[in-house]
Amino acid sequence: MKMIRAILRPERESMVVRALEDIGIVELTKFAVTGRGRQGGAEAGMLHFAETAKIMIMIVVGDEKVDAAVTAIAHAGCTGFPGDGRIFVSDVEKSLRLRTGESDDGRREEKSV
Amino acid sequence: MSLHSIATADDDVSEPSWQELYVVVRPEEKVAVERALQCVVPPMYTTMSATGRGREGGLANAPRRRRFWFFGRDRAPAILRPKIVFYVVLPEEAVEDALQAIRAVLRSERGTETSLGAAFVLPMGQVVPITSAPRRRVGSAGGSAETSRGAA
Repeated sequence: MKMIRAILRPERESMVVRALEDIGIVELTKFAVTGRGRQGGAEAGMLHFAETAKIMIMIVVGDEKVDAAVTAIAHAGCTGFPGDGRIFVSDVEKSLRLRTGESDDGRREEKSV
Repeated sequence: MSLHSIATADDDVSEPSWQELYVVVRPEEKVAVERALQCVVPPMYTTMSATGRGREGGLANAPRRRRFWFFGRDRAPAILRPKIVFYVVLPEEAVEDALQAIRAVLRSERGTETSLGAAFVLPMGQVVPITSAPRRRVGSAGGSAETSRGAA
């Protein structure tokens, strides 16, 4: 299982979400964040913005879906201009549904609660 | 080892046995989850406002009648619900206790309602408390930087 955190342009969010839906990934958590990349922000004429608004989408998927998810995000989120964002993939040791106590590998964790 | 003796703010916690815990819950459960975490681990966590949806695909996929009641007939339904994300770094052996405490609190308050949220456990890299991290002093003569380990 992997956690994918994608930092995106806000205007690309809906396209990325739709691209993920198309490959069967509907679960997601979304944060409104600000940040900057290699360019150190954005230049607009004489103005320099140290940080720009971004959207961070966090999803957890099985190993078999990681490549498809990363490809979908990268394609849908890409404009070809600086500031498109970045995708981070991390290992997840465990994923648990709080209501059922069910792990994502289908195992049910029932201790005395 | 007692859970409460595992870490304090002054400890060097750069041991490999720490884990990251993300807990995504409804905003109204913030206090309950805080209470659950305080029972289990030293109360160190970060909360973040977020929106999200689970397997059901959010409210857009709720039954039609409920959707119209919630949003009105003419409004497009929002698909993401507000959430709070707790980001907790805690010892590996405390993760299970934290998860069980959170589930116990949520189940006692919400029963088997849907959309209670999810928890993810990730392996942690290095953890360095900023107050006790090696510090680079600025403004030394000749620009030489002195590194010291001291309290802020």
